Amino acid sequence: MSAALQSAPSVPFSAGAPLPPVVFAPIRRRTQLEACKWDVQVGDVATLAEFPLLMPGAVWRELADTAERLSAETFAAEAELQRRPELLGKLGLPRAVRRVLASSEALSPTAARTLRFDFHWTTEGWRLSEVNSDVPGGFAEASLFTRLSAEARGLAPAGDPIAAWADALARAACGRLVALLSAPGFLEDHQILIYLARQLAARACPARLASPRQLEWRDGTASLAGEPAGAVVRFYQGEWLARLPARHWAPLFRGGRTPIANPGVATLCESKRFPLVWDALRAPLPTWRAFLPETRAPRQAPWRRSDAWLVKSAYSNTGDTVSMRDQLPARVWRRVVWEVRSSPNNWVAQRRFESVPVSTPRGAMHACIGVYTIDGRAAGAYARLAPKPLIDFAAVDCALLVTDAM
Amino acid sequence: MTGEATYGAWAPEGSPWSAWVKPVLFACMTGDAASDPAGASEEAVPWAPSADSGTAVVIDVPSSRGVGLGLALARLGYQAVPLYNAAPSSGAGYPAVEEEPLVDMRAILVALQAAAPELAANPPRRGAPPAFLLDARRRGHGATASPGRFDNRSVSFTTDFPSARSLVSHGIRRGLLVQIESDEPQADLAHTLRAWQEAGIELALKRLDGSSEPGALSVTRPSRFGALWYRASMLLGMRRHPLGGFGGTIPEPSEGGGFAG
Repeated sequence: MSAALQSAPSVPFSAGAPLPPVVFAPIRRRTQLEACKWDVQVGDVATLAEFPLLMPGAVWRELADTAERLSAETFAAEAELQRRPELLGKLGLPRAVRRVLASSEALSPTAARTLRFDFHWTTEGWRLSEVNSDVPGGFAEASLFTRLSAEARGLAPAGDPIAAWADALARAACGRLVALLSAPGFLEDHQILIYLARQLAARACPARLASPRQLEWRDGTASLAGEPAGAVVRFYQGEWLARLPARHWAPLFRGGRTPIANPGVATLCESKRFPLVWDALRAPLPTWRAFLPETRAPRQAPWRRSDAWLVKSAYSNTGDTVSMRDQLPARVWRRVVWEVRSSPNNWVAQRRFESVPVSTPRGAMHACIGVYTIDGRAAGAYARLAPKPLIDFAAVDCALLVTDAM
Repeated sequence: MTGEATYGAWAPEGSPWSAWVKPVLFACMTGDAASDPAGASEEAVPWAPSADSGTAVVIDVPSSRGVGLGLALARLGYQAVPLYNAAPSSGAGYPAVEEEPLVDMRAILVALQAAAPELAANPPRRGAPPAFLLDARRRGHGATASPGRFDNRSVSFTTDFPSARSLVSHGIRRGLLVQIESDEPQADLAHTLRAWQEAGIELALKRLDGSSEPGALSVTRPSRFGALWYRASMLLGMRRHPLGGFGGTIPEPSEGGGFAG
């Protein structure tokens, strides 16, 4: 890791001035209508920030390089883990998923591999809270919204992850149908896939949404309503699949011949308990070890009595179950304690870092910079801000702009 | 009218309730919808409170009838706020003719476009109260899932609406639920109405299957009301919905094609 990053005394990015309403309103509207960002209002909160985060090019390049090294290490760890069934139980994976991953069939081919590494600026420099290895989101905010915000200011976006994702999928599908799998009722997933379908259509690649039950498998080849698929996008979390009969989803992991994005093996490093198996792997994972805070099994950390620790479930989404004693009402914290003690193998304890807030037009906010890699290459960033040092679904989305792009 | 222009008519800039208009259907509009001769139904709303009475209306009726009711209320001085939250198509936009989504949104798409010119010509006045429009079919009751059908069921969440505090800050102290039958709100909507009720919003119910005047509505505490989302997630094995809410779930199609949930 960079010594400059580790010793930087102040936040290495800043918030820009808000765009005037007459400029920002069309950006928000185009993001809603063209990029299918349909949840810009959550209760009384407007979730698209009218101001950007401004990051010097050298800082962005350092984060992007770090994310690329983390990607390479993640793939190396996966390659080992998928051959080590004795370690799968430590990750907190559902039993049905473990059974499929432990089988001897070949891994299903990859259509594209998308990861998002979530970085936070702390008193110790950059720290990583997690990788979204299985089903990363945020594409509308990180792509069109960021591009339009950049154009309005004459700056450069950090990237265009939806374009990179669609390019990779179109190459894999070779003009054939792309089946886009999501869970019924989860509009926040539908909206990403419809945005992706539009990007694929622009690349002469047809795409349709479906649920995993609607996908038909024959000899490892997927089809949808009788039409063979050139690729499958699995925007359906691995741990949810375990509730369906395995015949609907096992070829997303092993034994499939149709390329998958992300393939089922991506569930391995999605586990927040992934660090608990590091010492059993040959891969050294130096970047992971440098950036992820100390992580232990709940029984081996003083998380109940020390505010220096937090707990989170092995498969939490967008911070759903990240629990800090001093951030929760006592009643809720007691419930968390009960849940962790009841099923410790589904939880993990992690040493907390001290996030350094950045001054913004909405007050001091804590930032999470999610850096995408697609097939191992950095492809853009999804920036979120929250008034508390916990980034969850109610966080505000912000464009990350590079001030002196190299 | 394009989807963007139609959206602009339903969610005019500067109106306080426009932020809550759901963009889903507007984002999926193409010229196909405008070519359909059908439009919003003509509805009479003699039961409607005066637009000066500080009342927010929640219309929960099937299909495009809500658009007709919303348009009628707009003529009385309300701002109609579509909260239709179902993707209409499994593809990138307007549903193909041969497609059969579980909840067919085409009639609503057409009605929204048909009503747009009138709304664009008569934007809501300053201080117009909101009339929220929901599709009572959203959770797919009675629909039969089968291979090839697009499953676009959806759930209404508390965060789809302004909070009671926001309503009160705009002078809204009453809420009127309008639905065709039943004296109870749908289970998902009950969370929102209960939260409003607990915050002091006075609720009433108007059933459209009779001629009676609106009557008082008391919403009982729904199951899991007020539970933190992650608790629901942990206890029920569900992920919280990023659009908010309390862990509502939608039944997955069962192996036999019905619903198991």
